[in-house]
Amino acid sequence: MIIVTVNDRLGTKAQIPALPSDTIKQFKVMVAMKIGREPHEILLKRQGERPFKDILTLSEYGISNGVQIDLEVDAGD
Amino acid sequence: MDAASIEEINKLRKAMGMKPLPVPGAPPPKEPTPDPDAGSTIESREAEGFDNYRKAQEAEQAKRRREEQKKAVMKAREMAQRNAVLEGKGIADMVSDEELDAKTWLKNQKKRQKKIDAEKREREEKEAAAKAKAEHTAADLAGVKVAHDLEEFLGADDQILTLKDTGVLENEDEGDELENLDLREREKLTEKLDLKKKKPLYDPNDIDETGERGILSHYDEEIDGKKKKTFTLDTSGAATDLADILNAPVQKRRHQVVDLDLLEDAPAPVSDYLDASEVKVKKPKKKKSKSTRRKADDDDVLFPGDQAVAGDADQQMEVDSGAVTYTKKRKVIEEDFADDDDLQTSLALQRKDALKKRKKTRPEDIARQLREEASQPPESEDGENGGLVIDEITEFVDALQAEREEDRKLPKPKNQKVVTKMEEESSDEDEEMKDVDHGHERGITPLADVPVTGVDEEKTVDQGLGATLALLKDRHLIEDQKGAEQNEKFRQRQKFLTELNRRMALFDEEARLQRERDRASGRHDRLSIREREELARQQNTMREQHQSRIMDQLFREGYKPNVELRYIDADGRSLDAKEAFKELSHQFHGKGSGKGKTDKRLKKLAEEKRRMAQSMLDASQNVGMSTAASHQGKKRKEAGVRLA
Repeated sequence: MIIVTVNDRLGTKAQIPALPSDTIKQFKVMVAMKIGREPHEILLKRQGERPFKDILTLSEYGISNGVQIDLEVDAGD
Repeated sequence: MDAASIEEINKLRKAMGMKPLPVPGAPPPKEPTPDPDAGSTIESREAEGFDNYRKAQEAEQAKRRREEQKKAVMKAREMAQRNAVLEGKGIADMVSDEELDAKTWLKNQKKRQKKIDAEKREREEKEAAAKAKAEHTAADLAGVKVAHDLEEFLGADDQILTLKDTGVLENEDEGDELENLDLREREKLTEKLDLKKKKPLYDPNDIDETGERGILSHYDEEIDGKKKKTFTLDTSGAATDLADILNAPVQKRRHQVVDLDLLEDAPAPVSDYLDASEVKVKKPKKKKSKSTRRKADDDDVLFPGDQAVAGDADQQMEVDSGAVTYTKKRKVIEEDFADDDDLQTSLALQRKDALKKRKKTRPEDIARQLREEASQPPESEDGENGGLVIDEITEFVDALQAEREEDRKLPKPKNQKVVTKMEEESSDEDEEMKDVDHGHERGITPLADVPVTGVDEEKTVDQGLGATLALLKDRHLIEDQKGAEQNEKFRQRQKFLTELNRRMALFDEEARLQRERDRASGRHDRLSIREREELARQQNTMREQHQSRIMDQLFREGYKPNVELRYIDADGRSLDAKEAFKELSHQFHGKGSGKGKTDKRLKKLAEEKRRMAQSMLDASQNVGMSTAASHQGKKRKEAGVRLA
């Protein structure tokens, strides 16, 4: 089990436990539960990189315990 | 991360079908793990070895037990067999059962002896039969075929026949055949020679003895195979059908029987050329009487009883000299069939000859007959013996003849009148015309009872001029013309003509009056005849001058010539300017247009004709639309179908 920190860059951080084998989509659901926003509106990315794709897993993006990723609002474009 | 929040998340994960997160406080889930290291140590391996040994031991024991069982089963079976053999009666038992004493034995001895004798006899018979079989006699040859013609053996002395050389199973059902090798060789040779001779296929002289000759019989050998001449031997060794051959009657050739008497009776074949003896130079004088005579002949041949009457009629005609005209007419008719004139005449001659041959009745004969009849008592008159019988047919024929006579008489008065009076004939003709008119009117009686349908009815010609015009207009057979203008023109012309006539009449009247006045005044009395004439001429010229001046004026102001060039071709169609030009051009240059153009034109004409003849309501051409309606539609560029 790893704990991932999600920072929305507006002064709020959320810590979410997950398994490295979880996909980004599943992870987004858990984030959504934590921050109270629809899963499809959530866009996750490392700072200065391209946003994560839904079908890949956390381990494939090299996310291990205690890593912080950025959260943005996905406008669907 | 506390356990509570993790458990909450786990709930969600469980709902989504994901693996739950490990809760830190809870013990890790047990998993049945297999012994990872079996046989890794010496002890465990020893234990395994013992197990193996025990297994092998058990297997061996089981095997041994099975074999023992098998042996026991075998033993039991053998024992059972042995016991089975031992069951039943022994020889001693059987002997002990039969009471055998000397007396019975002796009794049986006789029977036994008899049996032995019978056997012996049978054997001897069989041997005798075998011996008999071995001997080969003529009787054995009964029913054996000999593959030669019997005739070949008739003259010759002894011949040696051998079995024909064939396969064993080849002629199983037919049986063996005998043949003579020499004869066989000879047959083959003759066959070869025949083939070399190149005979014609059809030989008219080679008629079969029996008279039967199949169609294309020379192919029979190829189709059915060669017909072999064979005969069979009977028990005495002679040929079975020898007797048949000897007894058979000699068949004669069949002749085709032709009855020559029939040929005599039949008419001689008609020659295309007239026989020299038949040609006669006709005398012009006799021509008249001959023609009448011929008529009489025809009549009397057909109806012998009417001869006298017919003769009377002919005589009358001679008096009237109507016969001449009649023959002339006939000539004209004959010229119509000029193409096979010779044939017709020859046929007619032949027919006439046949009729004459069949019954020759001359006037003398008839006179004699009549006399005989008169001498005989009237009650014997049965009508059978050539008497005058008036039945339906004769009456009918009489009527016909009477009519014909009338016809013949008819031209006579006309001819006379032609010479004398012309008016009467013209009046006659007028009457005829009237008759024709009547007929015409009868021909176009109005169709009063035409069924009324929903469709507007076609106008017919009999409804009047207006209807006719409407009909023609409907069919586009006449174009709308400038009626008013034409009418005006016509009226102008009529007016001009009346004016002209009026002026001429006035002029004449004036001239007449002047002449009258002159005569009345007595001016001429003083003048001599020459002077009078001179004066009259002067006056005439003056009058003429005046008249011409007036006429000139009249023509100048009133006369408007209506020039219309009309061209009509050979078929009676009126041509328009273009067509007329073409026609004239063709006439001038002496050659018409080519085939393509001519065809096109003819097609167009035919189409036009068809259109003219077509009914206005005919829906076959343009389905569902009457011609007028379709024309209207075309004009307005509308598409549509008339439903009712």
